[in-house]
Amino acid sequence: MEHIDLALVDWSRAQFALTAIYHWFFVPLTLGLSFIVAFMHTLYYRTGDEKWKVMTKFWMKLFGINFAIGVATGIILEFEFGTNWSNYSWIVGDIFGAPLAVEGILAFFLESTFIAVMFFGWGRVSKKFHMLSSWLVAFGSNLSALWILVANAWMQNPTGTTFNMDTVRNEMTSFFDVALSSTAIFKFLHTVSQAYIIGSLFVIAVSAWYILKKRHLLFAKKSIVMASVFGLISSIFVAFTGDSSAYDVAQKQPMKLAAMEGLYDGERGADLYAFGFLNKRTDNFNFKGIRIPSMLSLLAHRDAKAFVAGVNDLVNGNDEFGILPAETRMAKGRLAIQALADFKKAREEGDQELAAQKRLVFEQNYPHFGYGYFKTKEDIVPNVKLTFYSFHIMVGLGLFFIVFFAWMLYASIKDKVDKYKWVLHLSVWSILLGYIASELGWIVAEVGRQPWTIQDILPVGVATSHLSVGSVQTTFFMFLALFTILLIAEIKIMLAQIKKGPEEGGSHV
Amino acid sequence: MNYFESIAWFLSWPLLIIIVFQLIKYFLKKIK
Amino acid sequence: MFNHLTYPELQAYWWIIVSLLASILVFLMFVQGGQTLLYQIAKNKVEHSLLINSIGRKWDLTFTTLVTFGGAFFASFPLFYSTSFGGAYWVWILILFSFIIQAVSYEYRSKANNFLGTKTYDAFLLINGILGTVLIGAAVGTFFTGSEFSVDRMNITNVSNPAISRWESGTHGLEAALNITNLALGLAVFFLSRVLALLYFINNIDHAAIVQRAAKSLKLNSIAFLVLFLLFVGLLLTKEGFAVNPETLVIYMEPFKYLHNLIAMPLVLILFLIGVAGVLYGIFAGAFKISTKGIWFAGAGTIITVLSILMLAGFNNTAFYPSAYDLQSSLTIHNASSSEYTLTAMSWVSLLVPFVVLYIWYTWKSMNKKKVSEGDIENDTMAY
Repeated sequence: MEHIDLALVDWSRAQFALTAIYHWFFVPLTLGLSFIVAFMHTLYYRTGDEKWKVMTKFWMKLFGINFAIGVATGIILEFEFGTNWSNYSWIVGDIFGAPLAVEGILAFFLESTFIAVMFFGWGRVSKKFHMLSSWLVAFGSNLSALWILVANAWMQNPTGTTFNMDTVRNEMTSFFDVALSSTAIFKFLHTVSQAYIIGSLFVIAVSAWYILKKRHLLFAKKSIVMASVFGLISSIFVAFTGDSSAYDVAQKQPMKLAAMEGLYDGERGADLYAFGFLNKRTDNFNFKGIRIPSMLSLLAHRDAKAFVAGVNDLVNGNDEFGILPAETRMAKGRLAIQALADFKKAREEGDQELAAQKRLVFEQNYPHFGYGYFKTKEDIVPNVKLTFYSFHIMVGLGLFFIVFFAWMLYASIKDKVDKYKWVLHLSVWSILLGYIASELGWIVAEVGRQPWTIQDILPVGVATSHLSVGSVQTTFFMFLALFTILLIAEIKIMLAQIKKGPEEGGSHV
Repeated sequence: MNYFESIAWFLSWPLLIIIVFQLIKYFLKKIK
Repeated sequence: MFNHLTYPELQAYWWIIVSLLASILVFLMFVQGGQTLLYQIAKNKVEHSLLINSIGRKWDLTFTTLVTFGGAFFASFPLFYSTSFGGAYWVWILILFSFIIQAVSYEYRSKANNFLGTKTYDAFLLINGILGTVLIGAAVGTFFTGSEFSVDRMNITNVSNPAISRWESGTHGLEAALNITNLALGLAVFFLSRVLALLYFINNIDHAAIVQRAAKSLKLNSIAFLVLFLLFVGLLLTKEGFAVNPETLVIYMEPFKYLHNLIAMPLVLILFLIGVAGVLYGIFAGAFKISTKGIWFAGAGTIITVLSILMLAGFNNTAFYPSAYDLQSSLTIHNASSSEYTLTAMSWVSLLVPFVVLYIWYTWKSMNKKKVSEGDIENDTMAY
């Protein structure tokens, strides 16, 4: 049986994608709504106005419904690196495990401890401590995002690392290179500000629905003001940090950038296409949308005349710009892998001189190590279509959100929010657009990174656990069934709570 | 990007929250 | 501070931390224990609600400890994380499933438009209470009884089949439950979680009938726990264990290995005795004096006892994750750990742990100052 089972690899990828996508339905709302609740709780604390208490309690209740399923879908991910990607866990665990541990120690305990105070502390703890708890929940959850994103950023840009030939794994050489890499920082900023968009869209959607139903009007309008401000600032921030991230991708993951832009043949002064329809057969655009000359070079390399590599340059090589053909990298990678094996053998036989020679060969060829596992040069190309469309739709939606929040803020100041019914209807549905943009972002990041689990170092085919395809198929469907049932349960409960509405004028603690 | 730049960029995050909260208070006054 | 520690000292330090997290997890699984007692201790809906809201305020703490335990184990001993989770696949998947369904149950069980129904969620809680404790206990049992796996790091150079660890048993981990030592530990953890839950109810709930019933139920559950615990300890101290020769690094079977470890590490023996005494006194105080302090003695005792048992697994030249299939594939704290650099960096992070413990203690105190009572829940719109 002893060959890499491609079906095993694909089902393992499918399962991780499934569990991650489900988890990501709920996390952004936690990250964003936690701050909105903290804002409201602070305003209640400062003014003592019962109306703020009603608002805080209402959004907090919805927050709690979402938080529970966020936690439920998250635990599997913490262990899934081990269950389904055990080779990965050993080969890069020395670096990858650390941010996960920090996430638990620093952030998870903060959010889970203070969430109990936030939910159950009304009248039980001092008002100040209670209000602070809401802030700590917000900070705790956002800090956990930081560390998991540091880990994911390291997959895209494996810095601060070296390969140890004796322990046969990658080892960390600089914690701060890993934690403070530009990839990590911009990924964090982009991801949390995107989550704030979700939180804001959610609040606006629910509030708009109340206005349409002519319920809780003042409550809704106040909520919309707050969410519009949060959403507008965040969506502008998302755009800038997205640009920084893409620039980073252009430097560190040129194939991903080429896929994002559907660029097959690299060019100097590459143009940016605002949209288009890819034709895989001809590896080109069938229909090109608005074209902005030299914009791609400008965005990717901060130089309008810079060369942006295309898929074909990276596969077949490009002498003019010093890009090695994939087959050359594959050959060098094979040399590195063989040198590692020979080094071990030489060491076992006590032949230090041979070992030193093999070490040299290994070190010379290590930058291409991962390529040694591929069979054909086309193996290094990700799914261009999926990456391209995901990226473009996401950016399009991002621009829409800026306009949307700007209008909502303007309208709420001028008390025109209920003026256009169609805008209110759009507001209700915009939350779905938010979720779509949110998931598409991850598709870009993770589908664009294929076939790598760790860029240039560890291909996906070398990273899995030694399991039967049947086992993984079974757990895939188990998760699909369970998470779908829980999602339906959550949506029904959430909608029921929204229908019930905030407890205005009711008697409660 | 060196460590200081990274830390500076990271600090834009709490700054964002602070700015947003101040703006929220400002705009809430406008609709009262 | 940590740069003065040698690599073996760092590895020992992290084995202690991981063991401490595991010990705290076992204590916090009083939540799971409580989930299996709902129908016994509560005779009507109000009482049921009291129990739910009592343990429900702590469910997230236990959950977070489990997740952090996983993360910390990954960071400090990645070869264990890789070999065990990827190999004993089914036992870990079952454990995780039981926790996934628990996570939503408190929040969703009594909400409006509840298409799964309260009974379903309470069933989820029961399943988590049983599977969570028994399977985690059985999995830890394999630290002493061994599993069927092989590890060869050099497989990475085999381009067509680079998996470095292979589980040789087709049931991928479920076979752990068939071993009597593992099962004894698993069931002991199950009954201990119920004992701790009953002590917690006495401590935290303001309702005379519930407290009386809890004190009564303590007696049978404690006996069950003690019998199983003694069985496990007896089997443990009389079995042969997986020893490492510190010079040659060769792993071999040594009769009475864990007994030898206990004698070779008198501090561990003392801790074990103190821990057991704490648990016994806590049970006595709860069952016969109906004392609210029972949970503290039993809880602290649990943490200390579990810690001492895990010391027996990892220290004194013992393989903490042994392979019964291929002895030389067994994992020790020296061959399974992260690099010296990573352990050092992580040790700096570990300095945060006392602060974490501090704020958990502070919030626990604030929130538990007043017991959970009927009036408490009636007026609380956030109640479960």
